[in-house]
Amino acid sequence: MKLLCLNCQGLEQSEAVREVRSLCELNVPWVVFLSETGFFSDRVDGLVRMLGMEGCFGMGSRGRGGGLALLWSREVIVKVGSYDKLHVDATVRAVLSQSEEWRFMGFYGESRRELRHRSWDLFKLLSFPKRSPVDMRR
Amino acid sequence: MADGGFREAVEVCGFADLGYIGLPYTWDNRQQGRSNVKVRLDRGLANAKFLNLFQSVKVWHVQTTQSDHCCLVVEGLKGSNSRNHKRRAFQYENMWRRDPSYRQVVNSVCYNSDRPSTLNQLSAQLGSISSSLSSWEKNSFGSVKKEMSLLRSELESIRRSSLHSGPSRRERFLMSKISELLSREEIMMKQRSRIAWLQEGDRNTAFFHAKARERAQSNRILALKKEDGSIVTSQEALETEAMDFYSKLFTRQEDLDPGPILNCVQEKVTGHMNESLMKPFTAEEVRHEGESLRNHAETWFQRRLCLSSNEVCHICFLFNQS
Repeated sequence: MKLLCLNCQGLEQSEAVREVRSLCELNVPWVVFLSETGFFSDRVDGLVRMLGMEGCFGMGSRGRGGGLALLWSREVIVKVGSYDKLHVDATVRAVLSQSEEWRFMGFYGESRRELRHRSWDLFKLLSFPKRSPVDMRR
Repeated sequence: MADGGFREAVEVCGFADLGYIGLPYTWDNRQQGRSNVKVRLDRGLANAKFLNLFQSVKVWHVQTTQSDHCCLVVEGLKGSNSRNHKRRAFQYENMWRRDPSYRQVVNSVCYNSDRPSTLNQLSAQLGSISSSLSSWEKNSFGSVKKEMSLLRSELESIRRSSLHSGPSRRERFLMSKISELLSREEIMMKQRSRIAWLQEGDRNTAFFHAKARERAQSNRILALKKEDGSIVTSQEALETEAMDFYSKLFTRQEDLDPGPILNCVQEKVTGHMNESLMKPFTAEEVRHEGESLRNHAETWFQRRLCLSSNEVCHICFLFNQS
């Protein structure tokens, strides 16, 4: 099982997308979490095709910076639970072994220091349901 | 990152930092000279339940070029393919002493053989104690986890049948057995975690588990750099490399002349002092030191191996003779 997490600082440049693609080709991850995609809209279909993944969930930036994308391969079934512009929370189940189910939390920290406590509050709130989270920060 | 809020949140959530393999930072502002900043901003965290799904979970910091951040690759390996199961080195478990038959096992070895008169014999005796303890452990402790799940399912079925009555004798027995296993497990995990500040009996098994896992992660050697700069990663290559390194390190170098170094060192030990230092210990001295080291080596040998203080004295003599 492999996960790939990257703060890409913008995927508008084709070089940036190519780099992510090469990382995916090398590691063959089941789940890819990208932050700061810089995509204004929620659509990430193009990215799914380019990275050779199966499913996707996007959260547009609605402005400068930001933007999250969760992509997954055909190895897993992913159900997205909650999301906002700072996190995506999903349940991941392996197709081959149905017993292997875990929770993935892609977490992007609030960049403004004075608002950062909101991030940590969200963090605590999300971890309460008794499933098992993994998460990536920033 | 010096952010108390983050640390507090991680603690509240019961997350453990997954650590990393690779360079120690994940963000580089790519500035020149003194204005360059490199920090570890991105990290993988996971709770105990997630960690238990996998035999090992590793995080790699993979270098990127288009972003100022590293790419984190998290890999969770399932059982068999991650490491070849080697026989675990003998390790004394603190929980053994709780079992009444422990003393018998140790005594049976000690009383069936003569008192060791050389270090080799002592080492052989300790070896036979450890091997009989290993097989004793397998029989009387077995897999704590397996036993625990059996006990739990039995307890569940018993409780289901006695929904409207108090606990039966069997149920009480099972409960005490489970709680004994929990204590044993806790003692074992505490020993592995090397955490001394929490008391045994707090039932902090999950916490000790997490700490022990962290230790095991950071103690694992994944790769070694050889003298010529090349890197080895396979298990066998790692073993031979380590053997080579230490046998070279501890082999006397024939062509070494300590003269120039010794010339720079002022002589502190006079001939007279040296003579008294070289004198063999007397039984009186060993006993005297034993008093002051009551909580250390002496009691260790006595309590663990049920030896008398005379025997401890004898062991000290053996060390002195060699």
